[in-house]
Amino acid sequence: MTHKSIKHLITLAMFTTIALVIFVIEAQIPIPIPIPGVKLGLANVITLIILVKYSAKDALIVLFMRIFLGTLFTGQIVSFFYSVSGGLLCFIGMLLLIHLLNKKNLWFVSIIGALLHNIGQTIAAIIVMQSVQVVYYLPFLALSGCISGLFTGLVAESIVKHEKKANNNSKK
Amino acid sequence: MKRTKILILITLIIFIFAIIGSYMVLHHKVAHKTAIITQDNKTLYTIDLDDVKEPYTLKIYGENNLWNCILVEPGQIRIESASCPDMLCVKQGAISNGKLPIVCLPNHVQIKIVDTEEETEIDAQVY
Repeated sequence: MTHKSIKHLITLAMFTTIALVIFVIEAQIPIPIPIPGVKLGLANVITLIILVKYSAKDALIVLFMRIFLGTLFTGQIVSFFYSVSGGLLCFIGMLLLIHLLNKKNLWFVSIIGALLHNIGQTIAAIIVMQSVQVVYYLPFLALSGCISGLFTGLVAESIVKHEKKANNNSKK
Repeated sequence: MKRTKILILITLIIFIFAIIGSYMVLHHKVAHKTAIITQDNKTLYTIDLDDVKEPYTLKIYGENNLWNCILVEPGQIRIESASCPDMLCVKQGAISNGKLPIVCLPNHVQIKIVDTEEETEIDAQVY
């Protein structure tokens, strides 16, 4: 293994760890709204950062590792299914949007990602519950997705900005 | 910047649609309430809520020792307690009208209220 690939491996492992910690802590935060599927989605910040700073493949690996390990740590097998379908749809949407928007306006990318995550979860719920009635949750999920997506997007944006600054300072 | 403005506009439009959608779901009135409790696509109970005189409880068991305790009251229905740690189905409270079902994802239990005035099962709906 070359020096570079080892560094890359360790970076991805670190990102997975950070995402996992965020994911596990977030699962402990009680949410006042009694609708299944509403959450902050802070772990999405990591996916966004890797999409911007590294490649889509890296982001996908970290996302899958986070979902897999996160399910082991927090919950039931059912939630794995919801997370994967939501996470995958969110990932594809964000990947396309980031290329379209030239890695700018991350807050918007994040909002669309959150909405797609909710849609993916709803589709998974329809399949698991064998009922279309779950669709009626979608407006509420979209509301929460807009708000939490904006928040996580702004977090990612400011992290990317400050990381650039820190890199410039260390090079001087 | 022009592009930022367009993106903000798109976000606002999505937000407004979400609010309208939520409002429509919450304010859907039902004339004759019948609660249907399902698990794994099997209907376990069909209760005419307008016929209920005294409140009573039902218990539904699922795989892995999961359970939900359902409280049936005159005109409304709720999950009183459950085995899952997050208690989301309990926090959803009582439903008496509207489209919103009570869902317990871990136990695959779903409670919905249908309007029996419309007689047959609804195939499609157009607003």
